[in-house]
Amino acid sequence: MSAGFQAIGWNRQKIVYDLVLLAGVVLYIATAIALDWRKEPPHNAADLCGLWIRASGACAFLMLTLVLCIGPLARLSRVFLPLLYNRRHFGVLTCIVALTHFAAVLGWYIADGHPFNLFFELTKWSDYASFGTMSFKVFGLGALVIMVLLAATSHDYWLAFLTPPVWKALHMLVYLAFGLLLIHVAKGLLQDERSPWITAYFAGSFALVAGLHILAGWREAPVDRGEAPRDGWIHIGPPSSIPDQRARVVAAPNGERIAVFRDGDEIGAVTNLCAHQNGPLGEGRIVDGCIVCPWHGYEYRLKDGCAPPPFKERLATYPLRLNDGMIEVEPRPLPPGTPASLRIAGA
Amino acid sequence: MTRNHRLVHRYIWPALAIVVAGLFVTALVTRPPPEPAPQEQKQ
Repeated sequence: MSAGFQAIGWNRQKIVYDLVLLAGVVLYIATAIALDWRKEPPHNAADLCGLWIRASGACAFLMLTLVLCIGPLARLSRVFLPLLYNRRHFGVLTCIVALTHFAAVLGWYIADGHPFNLFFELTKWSDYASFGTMSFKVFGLGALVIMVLLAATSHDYWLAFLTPPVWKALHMLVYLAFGLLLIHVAKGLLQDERSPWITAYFAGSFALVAGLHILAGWREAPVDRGEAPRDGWIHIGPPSSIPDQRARVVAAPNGERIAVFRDGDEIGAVTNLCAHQNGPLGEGRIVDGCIVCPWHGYEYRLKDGCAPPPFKERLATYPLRLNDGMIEVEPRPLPPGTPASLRIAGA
Repeated sequence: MTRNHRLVHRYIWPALAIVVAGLFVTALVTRPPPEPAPQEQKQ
């Protein structure tokens, strides 16, 4: 969290996550190379580079597909939340695999005896006149540049420096990278590879990622439409309608979401946006009097939205009242860290 | 995610899906015909 700088806050879960990822990458690339080698053994250094180009390219595409599925899956079902915890390491490893793919391409040109041909291909400006004549490598390079930018700014230092909304907006460029990658494949590999299964695999991967994002967005739209306040207050319901140590999430029309938590007889309302990465706090739970973000475990006290010492993050809280036995929240944020919780006997 | 991020998500994915699907299909439709097998070339 925020108490002091650490390059990576390693813990057992992150180490296991990364080891599983690394083992998966090694196994995938080794298997792909072995199968390719058996089909067509390499005769020279250029062929060896070709083996790595195909294996690492396929691996990077699969990894990016999986990385992009994690977000919407976690929004659709809590089962997938553990995958979200260390998603940044997954993304950075994907970028590293993609960089080895690019290095192998450069190696192929050098082994072929024409080290500058890639530069000449990419700077043949007349090819950019139409989509049909553009080199497939331009699309791959565009995707790689985006992935390097995102990997370089993935650390919490950049998250704090840019602020979570700007950082999140920047990292949405990964969707563009995925689109560019698919065009790279369609204009490259699929020009020679005629198997309908391989075409279906790539098209299906994109349809899966796009479909999951569209479905998750569609499922969440009703909450964002919000509820019109009556006399300036949004109706929540009786205290018992809020599950113990969980939250109900509401929003005013055109407003940000508010998470109304109950911890026994204490009820508090905070912004739904975690101060770390704007994760959905309302999908988290209360442990030892603190709201725990479901994404990365950041904690905030229910009574005032402050992270417990020595951490310094603070959340905006919202005024609550009990009106005729019903909890109501005023959709006007109080300054971060303002105590605003209610204690209701027999809640 | 903020409300604005969710709004962008909701609009960007259908648009991206249409654009990428269009370019993907164009790339496949306009690819050159496969080279004939060596045996066919001899004949």
